[in-house]
Amino acid sequence: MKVVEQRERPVETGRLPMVKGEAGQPGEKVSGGFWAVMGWVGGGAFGWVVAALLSLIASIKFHSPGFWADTPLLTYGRVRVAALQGMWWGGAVPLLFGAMLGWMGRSAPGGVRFSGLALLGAIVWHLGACLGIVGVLLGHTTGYDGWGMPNAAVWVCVAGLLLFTVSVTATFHNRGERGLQLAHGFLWAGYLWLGWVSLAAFVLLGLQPVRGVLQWLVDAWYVANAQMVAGTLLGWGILYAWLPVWTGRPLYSRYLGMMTFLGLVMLAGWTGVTPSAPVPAWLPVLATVTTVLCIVPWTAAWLNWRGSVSRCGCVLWRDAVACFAVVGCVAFFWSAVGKLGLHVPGISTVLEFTWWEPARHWAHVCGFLGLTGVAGTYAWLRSFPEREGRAVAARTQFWCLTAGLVLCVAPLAVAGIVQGLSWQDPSVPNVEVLRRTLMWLRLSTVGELLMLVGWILFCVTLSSLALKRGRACWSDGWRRITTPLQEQETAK
Amino acid sequence: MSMQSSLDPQSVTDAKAGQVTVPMWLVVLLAVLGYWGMVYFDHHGGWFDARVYAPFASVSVVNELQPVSGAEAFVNRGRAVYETTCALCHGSDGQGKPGQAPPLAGSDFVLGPSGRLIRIPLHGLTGPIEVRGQVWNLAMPAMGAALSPEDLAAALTYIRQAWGNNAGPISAAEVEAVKAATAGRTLPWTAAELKSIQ
Ligand code: HEC
Repeated sequence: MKVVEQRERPVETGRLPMVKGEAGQPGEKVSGGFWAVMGWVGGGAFGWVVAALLSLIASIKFHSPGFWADTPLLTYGRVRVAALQGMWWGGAVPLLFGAMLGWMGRSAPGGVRFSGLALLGAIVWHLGACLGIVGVLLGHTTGYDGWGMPNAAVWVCVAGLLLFTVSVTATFHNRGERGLQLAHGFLWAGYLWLGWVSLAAFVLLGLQPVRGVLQWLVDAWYVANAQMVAGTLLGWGILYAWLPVWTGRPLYSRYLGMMTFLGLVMLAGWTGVTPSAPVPAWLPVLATVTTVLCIVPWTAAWLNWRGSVSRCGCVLWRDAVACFAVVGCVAFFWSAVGKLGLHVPGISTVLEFTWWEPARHWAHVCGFLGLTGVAGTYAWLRSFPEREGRAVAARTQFWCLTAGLVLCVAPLAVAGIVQGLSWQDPSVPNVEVLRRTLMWLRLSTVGELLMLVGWILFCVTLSSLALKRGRACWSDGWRRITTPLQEQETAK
Repeated sequence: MSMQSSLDPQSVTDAKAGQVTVPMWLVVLLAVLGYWGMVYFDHHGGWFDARVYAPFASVSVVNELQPVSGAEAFVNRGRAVYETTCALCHGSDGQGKPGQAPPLAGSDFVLGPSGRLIRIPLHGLTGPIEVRGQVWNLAMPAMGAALSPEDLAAALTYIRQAWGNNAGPISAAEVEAVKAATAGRTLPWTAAELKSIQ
């Protein structure tokens, strides 16, 4: 194997990755890129904090309905929806987009292109996400489980996304190495897929709502496509982008990667309809068949991961950044198994409509998408000098998120099984079924609390880095303004 | 490139993916699951029919369980009678069988006056007849004599409306009227006799 040398990549200090920018000052372009990417991931981190907080409130309200019962803003129905929407639009998506932009900027000689636009896009996007969350809390939700953002917020987010598109496309076009990598395909496909399914859902549910059970169907279709196809593609895209960096060797197999890619694109979008959905039989049956067929792309992803990290597993685990990816990856495969449990004939009759699905959702969105986003962000941040001394914070954050995730997902899954099995016996009253799950639900609330702490740490880490860099930029600029004057003076 | 375990971001920048091929067992797994998927869909999916909901699996199952009333129920009953009493000779597609029985689809006896048609199963038919331009010279026993007027009327209505036939229904009252008019007759009809009945 040979290392593909990039043009224009002097590695002088081992810190700044690239750039003798066209116009003088090394580092100038990167710092532009810094703020653009930081805008997306930092806002995403904050979005995660807000979503995790809302989710914790919802979880507590579930046990003690008296908790903030008089505040209409915080009724269970609103907080839960706001948490779910915040998690997706405020947390997972901007974090992944930021990580995508960061990685692409890193492999483009000039850094992130039109970074100002990307930064503006981030601001607009987060404004939209805020609008959405506040709108939901004020009661302007759509009423759909998956597509919950109020229309006004969507328009704002679309504007932010368009700005991002300009920047990320130009950055991609500017890449140093012309050949395409697997990660490029995954990231772009994920990005475009998210775009088109969201657009379709916006039109069919927000602007010109379809009628009757079709509403539910479109919503289920959207969730499957956004999370199972687009989200998964973006998550694996980030992993495939950084794995070679972490392991120091190429990805295991291009073909397995392609198999995962094609399988996800062709199959995963059909998996949204649950077996007992009140729709013609072919829809849930198709969902079951495609879910089972997804075993193939999932297995391909697993083989590729295993091959890529073989003999480096410990190194990855000990690395303060790559460990996030390891846990994210485990969460992905867990959620894949969880998805199978919801569809495989026989098992699905026990697990459907129980806490099993929330457990799977947590594993996928918070575990896989959230943690790969964190891994991508930290991996990108490694190029910057400010990161020093942050490893401890990252470690603490890692353990909070991991422990929180396990404590959240595992008890919910157990609660789902308990609930499903209890329901099989018609002589057990429903209150009794609920009582049997309470213990597990409480545990999962502890998990949510831990995750909240983890996300707060992430947010604090990023903001302190940003602050440090901001100060450095400021003093650097100050020096540049003042220095020539002094020279002129001495010349006189 | 050497196997570096260093996690320095600069060490590998644009390493491509390796060329390890997809293992054969995964391809086999895909084929097996694909086959299972087709069979499963075939058995449970109702072939994209919007009327089939779980736990039913096909439109014919659903149709059988469908409560029907009026003319439709009458024709359904007629089909059942026909399938058990007449189809053996005339075929369930109404096309007849060479050397055994002439076709009912497109036959003038079936589509013509109800008085003629009712008489055939009541007492049988014998001698040369012409159906769709072809001459048949066989004998049909009185296959409908034992049927209730309702069942016979239903069966005759069915053959008048199935396989592209398009003639009016026959009521149980008409059958009873013919029965009364021909009471005491034991001989089968001939084509010439039937022709005189309007
Ligand atoms: C045992 C066999 C057999 C059965 C059962 C039978 N048929 Fe026939 N059918 C015949 C034959 C043979 C002829 C032709 C008689 C001839 O050539 O004169 C015939 C002729 C007819 C014809 C007139 C010719 C034509 O094709 O239109 C009608 C109408 C008819 N059958 C109706 C019925 C009905 C209704 C039933 C059930 C109640 C029935 N048949 C059951 C053997 C059968």
